[in-house]
Amino acid sequence: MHEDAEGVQDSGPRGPGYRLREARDRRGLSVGEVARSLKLDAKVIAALEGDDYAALPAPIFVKGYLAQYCKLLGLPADECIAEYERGIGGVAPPPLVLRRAAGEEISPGSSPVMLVSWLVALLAVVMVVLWWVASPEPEPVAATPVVERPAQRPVVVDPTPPVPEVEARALPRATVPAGVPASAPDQTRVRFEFEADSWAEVVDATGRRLFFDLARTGRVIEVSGVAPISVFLGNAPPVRITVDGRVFDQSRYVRSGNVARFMLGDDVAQATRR
Amino acid sequence: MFNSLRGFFSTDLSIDLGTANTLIYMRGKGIILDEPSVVAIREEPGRGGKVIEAVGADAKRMLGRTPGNITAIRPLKDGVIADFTVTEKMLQYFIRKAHGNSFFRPSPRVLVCVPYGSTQVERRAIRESAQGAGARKVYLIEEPMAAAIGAGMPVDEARGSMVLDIGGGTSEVAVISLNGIVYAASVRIGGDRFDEAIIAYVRRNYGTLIGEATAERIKHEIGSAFPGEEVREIEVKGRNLSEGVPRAFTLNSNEILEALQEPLSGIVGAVKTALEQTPPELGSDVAERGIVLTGGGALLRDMDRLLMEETGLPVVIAEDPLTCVARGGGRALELFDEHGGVFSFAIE
Repeated sequence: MHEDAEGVQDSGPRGPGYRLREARDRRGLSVGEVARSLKLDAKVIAALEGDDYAALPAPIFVKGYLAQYCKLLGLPADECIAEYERGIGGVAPPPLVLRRAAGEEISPGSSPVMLVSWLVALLAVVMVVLWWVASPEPEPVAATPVVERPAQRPVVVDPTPPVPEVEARALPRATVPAGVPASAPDQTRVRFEFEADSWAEVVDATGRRLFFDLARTGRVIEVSGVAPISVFLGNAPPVRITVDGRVFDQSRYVRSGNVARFMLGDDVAQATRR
Repeated sequence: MFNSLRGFFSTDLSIDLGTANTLIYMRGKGIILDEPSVVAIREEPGRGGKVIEAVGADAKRMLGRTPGNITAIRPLKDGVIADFTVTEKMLQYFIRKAHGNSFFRPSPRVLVCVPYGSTQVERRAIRESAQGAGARKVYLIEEPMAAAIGAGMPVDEARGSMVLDIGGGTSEVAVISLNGIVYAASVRIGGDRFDEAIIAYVRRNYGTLIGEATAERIKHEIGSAFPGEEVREIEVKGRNLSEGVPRAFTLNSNEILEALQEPLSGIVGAVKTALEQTPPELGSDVAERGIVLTGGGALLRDMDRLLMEETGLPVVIAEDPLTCVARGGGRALELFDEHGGVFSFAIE
C-alpha cells in the first residue's frame, strides 16, 4: 500500500498527498491507524497520499476526507484542499444528468406510435369528407312541390280495423274526390289491400307520414302523396298494391322474413308496368 | 399574457424557505438573499389591522424585544407554514428585495424546497403562499434532493449517496440513487430544538432564564456535539428566577454538550434507522463513501465526529452547508430550462 503511494509520487508531486504522508510519518502513525480513525478504507488513505484521484469518489467526498485527515494530523486543511483542487484542475460540481432524456418512453406517447395514430385519424377524416362530397344529393323533385302546395294534405282513409271491405271501399269514394283532383298531376294514389296482418309504413317524398300502423286482415287503405313514396311492409307477400290504378308487384323487394322496403314513384310505377 | 410579460423582467428563483433562515438563489447570480425567517408586525387599530413593521434581519433584532403593539414572529415552524398570511407577506418582501426592481412587480418562476415529510396540505400552503407572493409558476423540490445536488453529490449515479440535512426546524436524512430518493425520513429536530434544549438546561441548572437569541449565541460559540480536547467558555446574562434580576454567569462547552444530548440522539437515531432501512447494496455504497452533512446543523462543532463514532462510517461536511439546499434548487432550476420541462427532481 505504502509502496503504491510512493510509486505515484515518483512521477512528480501534484497534490497534497506527499504532505499528508510526511506528516503521518512524523507522527508515527500507520495507514491502518489513520484509516480506523477516519472510518475509511486503507485503500482510500493510500489513494489520498498518492494523489490517485481516479480511485477516489466525487470531489465533495475527497475534500471531506482531506479536511478530516488534515485535522487529525494538525495540518492546515484549506491549503491541502486548495492543492487538491489545483491537482484536479478545479472542482466543478458533477453534472446533473437526466436519465429520462436518454431512453425512449415506454408508452403509446412515443413518436412512431403517435405518428401512425395521427395518420389513421387523418385518413378517417379524409374518408368522411369524400363520402360526404360524393354522396348523391336528395332528389330535387321532392323539394319543389312542398313549397308550392304546403296546404294540401294527402288523404288517408283509415277505416277502423274490423270494418268489412265494402264499407272501406265506399269511404274513399266519398271523401277522396274533394282533394285529389286538384292535386292530380303530382300526387300519386296508392291503394293497399291486406289479405293478412302486416305492419305498414308509408311516407311520401316530403317526409309526411301517410300511414304508420298495423293493418289487420281485410283492411283496405288508400293514400295519396307526393312521389316517390317510401313503403315498408312487415309482411309483404299477402298485400295487393295498386299505384294510380295500376297493379304493383312488390315480390322482388321481399327479403327474408317477408319484409319489403321499396319506393313508389312515377318512374318506379312505369317500370313495373312495363 | 400580462404575467408572461412581467415574467420577461423577472429571473427565476430558488427559495429555501427554512424555519430559521430563508435563502434565495437567483439564476446566474448565486445566493442573493440570506435573511432570518422573521416578520415583525405592528398592530394599528387606527388603520384597521396589522402592518408589517420589519422583515428578515431587522425583524430578528426585534425578536423578544418588542413593545406591546409589535409582535415579532417566525411564520414557519418545523419546516412548514404555521402562519399562512405572514409567510406570504414575507415571501413577497423577499422576492421584491431579491429583484431590486421596483418598476415592474416581479413575477418569477419559483422553485421552493419542502421538507420530505411534509403533507399535501403543508405543500399546498407553501405553493399558494408563493403564488400569492407573486410567483408566476411554483415548483416544489424535496429538501434532501436539493441538498444533495447543492452539496455536489453525484446524484445521477447508480450508487447510493446518503445526505443528512440538519435545518432549523427539521433534519432530513435521505439515500439517493439515480436522481431519486430511495429512502428518506424527516425528524422535527433541528437548530431550534438545540436552542430550546440550551434554554431548558440553563433554567434547570442555573435557575436562570435566557432568551432564544442568547441560546443561539451560546450554541454558535461553544456548542459542540462531541467531547473535544479543549473546553471553551462563554459569559452570558439571564434573569435569575429566584432573585428576579439579570445576572451574569459562565457556561462551558461540556455543559452545552450535555444539554444537547437529547436532540442529538434524536438525529443519530434517525440516521441509524435510515441505515437500517436502506437496501443492502446502497448501504454498502454509503459505507464506502460516507454520509454528507448539510444545513446549519452541520456547523455545530464536531457534528461529523459524533456521527462517525455513532455509525462507524465516514462523514463529510459539505462546503458552505448553509446554502446547499438553495444552491441545489438553483441547479435544478437551470436544468429545467435546458431540458424544457423534463423535470425529474421537482413536482410542478
